[in-house]
Amino acid sequence: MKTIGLTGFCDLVYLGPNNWENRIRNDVTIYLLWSDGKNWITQELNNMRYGDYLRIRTDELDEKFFESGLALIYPSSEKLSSKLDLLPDKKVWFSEVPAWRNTSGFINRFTQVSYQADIEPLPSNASLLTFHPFIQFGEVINNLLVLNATRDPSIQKGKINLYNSLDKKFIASHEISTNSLTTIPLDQYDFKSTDLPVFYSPKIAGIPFGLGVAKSGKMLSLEHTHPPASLVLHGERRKVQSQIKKAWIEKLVTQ
Amino acid sequence: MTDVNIKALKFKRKIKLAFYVRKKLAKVPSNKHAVISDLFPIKQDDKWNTEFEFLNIANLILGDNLNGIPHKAEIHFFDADGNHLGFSKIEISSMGRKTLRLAEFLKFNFTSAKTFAVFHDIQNYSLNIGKSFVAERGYCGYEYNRLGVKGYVHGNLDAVTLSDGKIIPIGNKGFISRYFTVQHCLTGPSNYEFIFTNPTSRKVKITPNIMYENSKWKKLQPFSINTKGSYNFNLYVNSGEKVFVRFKSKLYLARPVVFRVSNDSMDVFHG
Repeated sequence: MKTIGLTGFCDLVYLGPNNWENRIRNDVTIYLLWSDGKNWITQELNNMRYGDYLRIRTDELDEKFFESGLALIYPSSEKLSSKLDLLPDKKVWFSEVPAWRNTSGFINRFTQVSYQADIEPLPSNASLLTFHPFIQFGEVINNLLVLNATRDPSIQKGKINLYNSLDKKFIASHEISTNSLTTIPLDQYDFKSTDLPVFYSPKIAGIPFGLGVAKSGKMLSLEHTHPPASLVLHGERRKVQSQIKKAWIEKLVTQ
Repeated sequence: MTDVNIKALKFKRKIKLAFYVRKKLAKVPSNKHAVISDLFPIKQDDKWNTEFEFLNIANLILGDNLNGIPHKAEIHFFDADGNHLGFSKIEISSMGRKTLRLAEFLKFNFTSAKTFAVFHDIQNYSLNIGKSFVAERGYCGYEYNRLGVKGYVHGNLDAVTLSDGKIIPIGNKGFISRYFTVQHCLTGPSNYEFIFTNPTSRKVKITPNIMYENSKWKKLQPFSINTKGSYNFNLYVNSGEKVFVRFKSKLYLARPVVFRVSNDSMDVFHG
């Protein structure tokens, strides 16, 4: 991930998160994949053996890879061609309890912030509704990051709308894109400490993050917001999520 | 891969799941009106501040502040041994966000608290959530060294339920020990703190293993955690060192919250 003023990193650890689910041991090739809007372009970065560690930094790679703010890391047990029509669907480093992840995040000259990341490609046409409780106050810069990756390499544009959850008042609209990381500055909206902003994107799903950067640079904060389904456990969570989204969207778009 | 191979792999995986994860990660509460919460770690001393983002969950589910009355909840505190220290009532007046400073709760009471749970009062709401349960797995903010900016981390495990006034752990564990390898390479100079909570109804034993780069796994002293208790495992990593860490236990998901303190700053994330 690449955002303004920070270096993105991705730490790969070739050790499965558990000892029973996926006992892969064979060498893998680490590819960087980025979209030119028509294809996924592949760049071979390194080979990893079982037990290896590799840090990938955005400032050590060509800027062209990060024009959309996002390039994907894919460990492959096979050689990939230089251009792909779709993201590879073979899951090489994969487990479920827990999910096999890597550590991604941002660094500056003082500190770093980490996030346990992995991404399954999102549907090409889906919506996003999320509540954002991460705005901080004082000597801090607040941004919303929206990450999207789909199997299809095309870069489609859409809107994400910002509302106040209390009065459902529309605040602003920003452009977001598929297969990209979009950075949206939030301090311009003068939120109060009791405000809970709602973000709604009708056509592009994504993983939203709150990114806080101390103006001194000495502290970074990064965490993703939850989808509405996380407000409940067990039962038909997808159905509950649909209901919650429907209830909110009806109110937000009719204002 | 042939269809036969795919079927064989799926079958192998089902057999493994039957051995390692026989049940859901969290039990289904027997009381259909029960509410669920994580056990959130508290870091509160001269160097640390902990805050919690209290949201009006019932009305977030309904899509509006329909009943117009304040939303209520209880915040319950536990010490490292899992003893329930008591609770405070909290409320939020409208749709929005209320940032709770844990220092205010711990000033006079609950001074030995190491974790807390938040149980929402949903009895005045008609939530159409079928067989689902309202769950608080929200966000703690941790401030280090008065840096003025918090590191946020969301709830890690659906740990406990409040049902008819009783707090019941709902995490499951298996009968076979298994490793959880933290998906993070520890780098120095830094002090790492791994905070574990026990969401199960029995004491659990956890054995840390560490491995320096190009070395072999080394077993460290095991520790035990009472039901609803917590434990902080600390590890200092010197400059230039690269260390991996894994934890052996019967927990389905021995996933700690990880704090990394380095260069007068900190980073917090899930292991």
